[in-house]
Amino acid sequence: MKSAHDFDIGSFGTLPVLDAQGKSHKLLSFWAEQRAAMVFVRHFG
Amino acid sequence: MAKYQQQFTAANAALIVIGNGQPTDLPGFSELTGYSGKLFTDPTLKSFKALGFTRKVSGIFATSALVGGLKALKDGYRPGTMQGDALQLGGAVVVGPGALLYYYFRGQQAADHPPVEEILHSCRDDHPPLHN
Repeated sequence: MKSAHDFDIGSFGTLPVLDAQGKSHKLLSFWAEQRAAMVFVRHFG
Repeated sequence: MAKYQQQFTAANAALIVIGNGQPTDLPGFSELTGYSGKLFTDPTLKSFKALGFTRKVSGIFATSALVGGLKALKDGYRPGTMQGDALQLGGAVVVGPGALLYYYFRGQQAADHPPVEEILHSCRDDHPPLHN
């Protein structure tokens, strides 16, 4: 099972997420200039 | 998370919520939760997988998950139709500036939520990274 020590932030940061318009954003853009708290949720509509 | 947005702003940290449904699901999520901050989705689940977040059937049927769901209902959280991957559980990380990890939480069951106070604490300037 993975832990905090098992993932590479550099490669993680290259992964894309989508906004409501479907536009892609790399995760690393969130923490380039400030600390970013990212909460990954189960998705309720 | 909606009620904590201002506290993250005061801590000079960005609060970002990432789901796993389709982009068209996001407005409904905002409406249901009252969260009006930065909201994204990863339908591929690649980011969830990279973080080692759990995806399993037992995670949504565990007894504590049911108790947590009932508590959420009591607190006024009413889940709508499930969108995205119902088996994918969540978690949280705090990163940056730069490639430094300050917080890591992985949900084990559907009702597991990262303690917001812990996340906020890890956003303080004097909080050390988990590892260098």
